[in-house]
Amino acid sequence: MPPALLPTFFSAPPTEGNVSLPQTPASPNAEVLASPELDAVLPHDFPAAGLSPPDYGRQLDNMLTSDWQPDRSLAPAGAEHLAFSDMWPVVSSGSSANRQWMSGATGTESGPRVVSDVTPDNDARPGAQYAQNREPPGRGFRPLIIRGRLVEPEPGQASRLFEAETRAESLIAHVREIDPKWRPRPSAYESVEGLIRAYESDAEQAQARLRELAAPLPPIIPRERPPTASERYDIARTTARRLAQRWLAQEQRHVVEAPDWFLEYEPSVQAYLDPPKTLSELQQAVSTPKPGYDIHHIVEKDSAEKDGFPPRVINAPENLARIPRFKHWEITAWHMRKNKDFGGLSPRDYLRGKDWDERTRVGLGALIEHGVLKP
Amino acid sequence: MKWPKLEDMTVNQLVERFTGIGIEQDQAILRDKHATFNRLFDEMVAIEDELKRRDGDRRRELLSLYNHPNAQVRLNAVKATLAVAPEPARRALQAIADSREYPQAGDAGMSIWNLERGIFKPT
Repeated sequence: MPPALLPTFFSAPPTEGNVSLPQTPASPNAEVLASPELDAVLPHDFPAAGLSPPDYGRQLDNMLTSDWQPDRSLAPAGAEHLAFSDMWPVVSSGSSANRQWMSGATGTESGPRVVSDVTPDNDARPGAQYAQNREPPGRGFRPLIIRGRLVEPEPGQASRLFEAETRAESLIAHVREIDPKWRPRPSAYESVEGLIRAYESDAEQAQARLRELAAPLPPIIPRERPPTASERYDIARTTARRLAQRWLAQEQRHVVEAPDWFLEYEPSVQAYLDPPKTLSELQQAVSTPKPGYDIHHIVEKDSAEKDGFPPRVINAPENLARIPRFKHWEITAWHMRKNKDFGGLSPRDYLRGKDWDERTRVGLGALIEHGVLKP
Repeated sequence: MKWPKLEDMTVNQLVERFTGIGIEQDQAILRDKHATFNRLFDEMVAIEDELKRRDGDRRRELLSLYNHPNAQVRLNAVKATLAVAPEPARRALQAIADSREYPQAGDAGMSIWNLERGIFKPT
C-alpha cells in the first residue's frame, strides 16, 4: 500500500479522443472576482479602484467545470474514486473557525456591529462575524460600523446581508473541513453593499476552492500520448502541481486514472508529493538513486565552477541532496529567473562573486521554501 | 496586441498589461522559457516605474490584482506593492507561500525570507 499522502495511479486505456489541457484561467480582459472597493484591505488612504473588473470567476468556473468525466468502469474494485460525491464533506453547522468580533466590546447582541478595517491576526475577514451576533431577517439588523461610520442597513439590505453572510460562512466551513488553512483572499468594502459583495466574493471563492478540491484531476491528462517529451513533461508537472495543491491538503490517498503513457511519469509525480525531509535524509539518499528523483547541488554547480570553487567542494556530500525531479527543475529555474528580491537580478547572477556561505544560505532557503527541506 | 508607449497608456491599460505579463510569465515558467520570462520581467518593471511616476504613485491600483486567480499575477502584484502597502502585501505574500501553488509558493516564501534578511528592499 502506498504511503498515505500519495495518490495511487492506475492505467486507463485510450477509449476516447484527447482531453485538452486547460488554458491559463484568465485573459487580461477578464473581470476581477472581488469587489473593487479596497479600503478594507488598506484601511485609511486607499484609492478607489479605477479598473473595470474582469470576470475571473466565470473563467475559473470554465476551467474547473470540464466536460471530462472519469470513466469509473475502469477503476479497480475497491479503488477510491475522486468525485464530488466522494469528497463533499459533511459539515456540522455553526463552525466557529471564521468568527470573530472586532469591536473590542462584548460582542453581544445588544450593541452595534462593528465592521472593522483592522486586519486580524487570524485568517478571517477583517471585522466579519460570519453569522453570529446578528439577527435573521424579519427582526432587523443592528447598525453596523463601517470605517468609523454608523450604518443602518435598509430592510432589503439586511436580508441580503444575512443571506450573503450565512452562505459565506457555510461554504468557508465546508472548505475548511478539507483544507483547514484555506482562507478567502481579502477584499474590501466601505458600505453595506460593499460588505454584501465581499461576502458574496468569499462565497464564490469558497465554491471555487471546493470544486478545485473535489473535481477529478484528469482533464489535464490526454488519453493519447502527446508526441513530444516536452509536452508530456508539461502535463506531468502540471499534474504534480495540482496534486500538491489539492490533495496534500486533504492528507488522503486517492486514485488517479491515467492512460498507459502517463505511467512513465508516475515516479516523478509521486516524488513531487513528498513531504519535506531533513537535510540529513536528503543527503543520505544521494547514495540511493531512485526514479523520479535527481541529485541536486545545494550550491549551484555551474555557477560555483565559474567562480572558481574547486570540484571537491562543489561535489562534496554536504552539498548534494536527492530531491524530487520536478522540484529540482523548479529550483534550478528559480535561480535563472530575474527577481525583484535581488534588485532585478536572477538569484544566479546575484550569487556571482558571493562566498560559499551565502550561496549555501540561498540554496538551503530555496529547498525550504519549495517544500523539499524541513525548516 | 500592440500597446502604445507606456507614457501614453492609461492607468487601466498599464494594469491590464501588467496582468497579461503575469499570465505570460506563468506560461513561460511552465515551459522553462527563461529568456521569455526575463524579457517580460523587464517590461513589468517598466510598467511599475510608470505607475510609480504617475501622480500619487498609482502602483496601488495593482492591489486589485491580489484576487487574481493566476498565482504569478498575484505574486507580481504583491511584490510591486510592497513599498506602497507593506502590510497587506506581506499578508498576501504569506498567503501565496502557504497556498502550495508551486512554483509561485516557493518564490513567495523566498521573498519573505529575503525581506527578513534585508536583501529585498522594496522601493
